[in-house]
Amino acid sequence: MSEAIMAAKKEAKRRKKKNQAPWGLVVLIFAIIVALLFLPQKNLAFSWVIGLSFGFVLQRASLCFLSGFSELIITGNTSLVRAIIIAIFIGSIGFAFLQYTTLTQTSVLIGYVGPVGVHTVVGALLFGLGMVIAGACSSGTIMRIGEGFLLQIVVLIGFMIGAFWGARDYGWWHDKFIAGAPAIHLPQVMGWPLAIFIQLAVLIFIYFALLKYEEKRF
Amino acid sequence: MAVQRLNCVGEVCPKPVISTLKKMKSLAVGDVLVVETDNIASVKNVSEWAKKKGLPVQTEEIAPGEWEVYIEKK
Amino acid sequence: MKKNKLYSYGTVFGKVWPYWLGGILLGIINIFSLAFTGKPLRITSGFLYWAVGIYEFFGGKVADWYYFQDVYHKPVLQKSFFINDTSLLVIGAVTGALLSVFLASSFKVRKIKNPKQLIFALIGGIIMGYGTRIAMGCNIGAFLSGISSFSAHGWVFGLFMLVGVWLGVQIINKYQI
Repeated sequence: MSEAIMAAKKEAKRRKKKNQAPWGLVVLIFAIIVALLFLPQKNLAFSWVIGLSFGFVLQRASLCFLSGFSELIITGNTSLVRAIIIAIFIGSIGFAFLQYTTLTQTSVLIGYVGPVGVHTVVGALLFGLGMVIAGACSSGTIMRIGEGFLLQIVVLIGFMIGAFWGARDYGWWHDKFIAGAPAIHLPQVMGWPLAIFIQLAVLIFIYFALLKYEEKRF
Repeated sequence: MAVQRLNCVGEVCPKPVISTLKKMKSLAVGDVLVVETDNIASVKNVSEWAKKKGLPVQTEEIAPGEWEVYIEKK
Repeated sequence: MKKNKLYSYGTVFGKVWPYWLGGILLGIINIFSLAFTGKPLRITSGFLYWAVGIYEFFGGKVADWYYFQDVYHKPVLQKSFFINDTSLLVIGAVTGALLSVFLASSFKVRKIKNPKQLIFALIGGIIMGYGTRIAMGCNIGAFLSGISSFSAHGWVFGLFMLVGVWLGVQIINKYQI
């Protein structure tokens, strides 16, 4: 250990750490009660439990999407973006299986396949810009509220206003851009085997390209 | 050897990383920068940046939800 | 130096998990979400429903909005804007994060630093919120779940969101926000 750091650590104004685990137990009991309450409506109960694990993992691994993307640009550290690529890679495999089985059995396409066009470009630009200005993304907002950040409650209020405004204007965007934009589901364009192969190959390529990029920046 | 402090308490990503990078430039070799933050994501990305730069780095939770990241300039 | 055992309480709940582990779990949770609730992970629709719910509480009407004619968003009109699957997912996520913080004993009420921070949070939030409605999702709904669903819009969203982040970083650097 570095001596300079040892010396600096002596100056730290430490305060005693209180054990907050009992509060965790209270939250856990609350979570179980809510789950039981919604048990008759399976969909809601499942959503609740999945939400719980989602938030837990986000906070525990501190997967702040904004910090990942901004670091890619500011410092060149790509470990967080690579973790997101892993999440997409694993998700793709499971989604492919689920989409394929439901599509062949009920001919309904599940998952999020949306129209792509000018509106996607504009919306994504606005989202990326807003994220940096606010200092939070949507996943960041929910986990930071859990951590006790009052600032993120303000972001949430802004988020609600913006989403409300956007939904009100949706008709205009729909007439101008969305109505004419195609929803492209890759397996329906190039067939399942090729779509899965290409998507997974591209994700692996991005992963290693990010590694290379990081080596260059550091 | 000098110790410099950077107060990032209450700041959210990506501010602390940007400030750390700027501040590190003004340090002399052997100096230590102490980044004070209460954002766990910043603890992680500031210390990871230092580690990947090959700088000696340590983190400590000095109080509930408050951390200090120590980075020595080399 | 004291070393934590791999499965001790301190290692599991006291320390931050590595990003890659979080990534693997996030991917698995997303698959579970699609398998058991019929929808992938999403966040911002929940924020919209709350805003609309408050608006309706004060007498506003949204049933004739084009947005709610959409097959995907129409069902919520018949249900509650506060008690629905998306809403429970988001509130569940906040609760899960709170649980995680408590188990690590790192909860702290973090105050707002200055009025400038408050104004930027509000403006940034509004810009983001508007963007999510026309791009059909955020980092989670459009990027993570969209690409996992093999949709082209997820890839396009990811690319231009990065451009947006780059722009934002330039602005922050220039004006020392």
